Amino acid sequence: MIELRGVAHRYPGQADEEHTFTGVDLEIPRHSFVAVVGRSGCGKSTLLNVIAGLDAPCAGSVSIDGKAVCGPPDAVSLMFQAPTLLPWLPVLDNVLFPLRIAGADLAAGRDRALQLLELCGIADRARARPQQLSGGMQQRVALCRALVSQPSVLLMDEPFGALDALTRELMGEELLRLRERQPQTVLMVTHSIEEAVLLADRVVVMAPDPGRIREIIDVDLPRPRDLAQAQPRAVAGALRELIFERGGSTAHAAGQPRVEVAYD
Amino acid sequence: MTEAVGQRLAAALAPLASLLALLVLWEAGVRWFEVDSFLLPPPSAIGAALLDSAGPLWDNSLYTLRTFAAGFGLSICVALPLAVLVTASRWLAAAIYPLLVLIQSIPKVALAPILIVAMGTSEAPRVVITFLVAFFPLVIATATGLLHTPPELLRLARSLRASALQRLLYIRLPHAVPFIFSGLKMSATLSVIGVVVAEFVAADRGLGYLMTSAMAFFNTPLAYAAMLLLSLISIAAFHGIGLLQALLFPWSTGQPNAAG
Ligand SMILES: Nc1ncnc2c1ncn2[C@@H]1O[C@H](COP(=O)(O)OP(=O)(O)O)[C@@H](O)[C@H]1O
Ligand SMILES: [Mg+2]
Repeated sequence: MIELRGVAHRYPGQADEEHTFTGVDLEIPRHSFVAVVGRSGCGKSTLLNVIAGLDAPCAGSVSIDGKAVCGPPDAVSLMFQAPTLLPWLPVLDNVLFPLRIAGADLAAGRDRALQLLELCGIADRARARPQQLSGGMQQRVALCRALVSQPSVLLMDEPFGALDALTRELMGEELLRLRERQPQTVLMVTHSIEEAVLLADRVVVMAPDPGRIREIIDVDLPRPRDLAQAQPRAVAGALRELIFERGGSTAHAAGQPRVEVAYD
Repeated sequence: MTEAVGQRLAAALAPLASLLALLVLWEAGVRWFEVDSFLLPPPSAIGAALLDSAGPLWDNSLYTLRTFAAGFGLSICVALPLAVLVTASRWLAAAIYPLLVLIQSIPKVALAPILIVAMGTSEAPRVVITFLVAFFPLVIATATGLLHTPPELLRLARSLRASALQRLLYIRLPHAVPFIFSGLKMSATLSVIGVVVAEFVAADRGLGYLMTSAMAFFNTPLAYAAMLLLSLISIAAFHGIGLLQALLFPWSTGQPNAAG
């Protein structure tokens, strides 16, 4: 369970009144998949960094499983938009890198890493250099690296944002498949409404100036989902309205309201 | 296939051909205009000097190589830790950097006679002069590599709770490898210059000494022969370092901007 209470953030250069975001209250239940959407610049990445302990909030509290976050916590893995692989290490060693840093047992980790690569269909590239892989393959390696330490929380900042549409869809399905074997709590920032609807149990819509939570929408639909179906389409439509602030007022108390989408 | 081989052969032969043409032109020019051998010896005279004085040239080369190795080695041993220190903290950078620039701004050729008076006629002052000429570019190259580590790699390390030492060993130093090797190449060629300058000023052996003493007897062909060997040492060091890099860190020789 990830809990945020009245969290606000300000970058060093910003004036006292300015905030990257303010009044963020959010509860992410264990093993749920939460997507964060919102226009560029509304503070999604910063929010993720705050939860990851890479950035400190200027007000409010963040806790994971009851423990206050100060500095990067254990059992949390991060994934970025760029694969961020180390070019001097072969694929397998890139996947094992978190274990090496943690001083963990590499022999046991190696089996797990190979298994993950196998599940992502790139086990035959374990000895290759990252530069020799396509963008999609590199991001798969990054996903394996994020999962190798068996984290309970996975924080992803537009992880598939740089990939082409087809690869992005495949990666989403792969992520869901991997989660069936070992469910993590996932918080994923995405700029794709479709991705949010297809993958998430709950979607957080953020609004800019100042950054805040505009709505939280539960996506209570059976899986696998298909955007050709009416219900996911309805949710996607509602999200689009919210992101572009067409529907409803913006007068909700930040973060509290839950919109139940009327399906059909 | 054969066409490709032919092209590569032609590419390899092109510099040889132009070198040969230059030598022929040189030889012909010197003979045609009857230039005195002590002003500009023809290539044939330099070749003869190489053969006639093979023994002394070899002995003095070994001596020069020894000073080169000591000075270059000292440069590496000092420059790498110094670069790590300079990039470790703002405070250390502020403390050390101006000193480095000061040392670098001193004309080493002018320093050589002073150092030799101060340190005596042993090999030590020649090693120190070589070191002073060679170490600065290596510090700069290494520090540049360490400082230009992509911030997203450091963020990754931070999210993995890597210590400062782990960040240095697993992220910053590997990233700096190609920078370090271009620094090493620069530093090696400068080391050769450093040795020769030191040998000019005070030495009783070495290729630099051989050059000055040959010129004192107007034996210009021998001086040219010694100069040729110095160039060979420089070229060998340059390519040897490149080879070492390709062997030890093959990933670092490719496209410098690959895999962002
Ligand atoms: N390092 C920084 N220093 C100052 N301002 C920043 C920094 N990073 C981001 N910002 C600002 O904070 C706001 C939110 O940024 P970000 O969290 O990256 O938004 P998003 O991920 O939603 O696009 C933006 O207005 C951005 O300009
Ligand atoms: Mg962002």
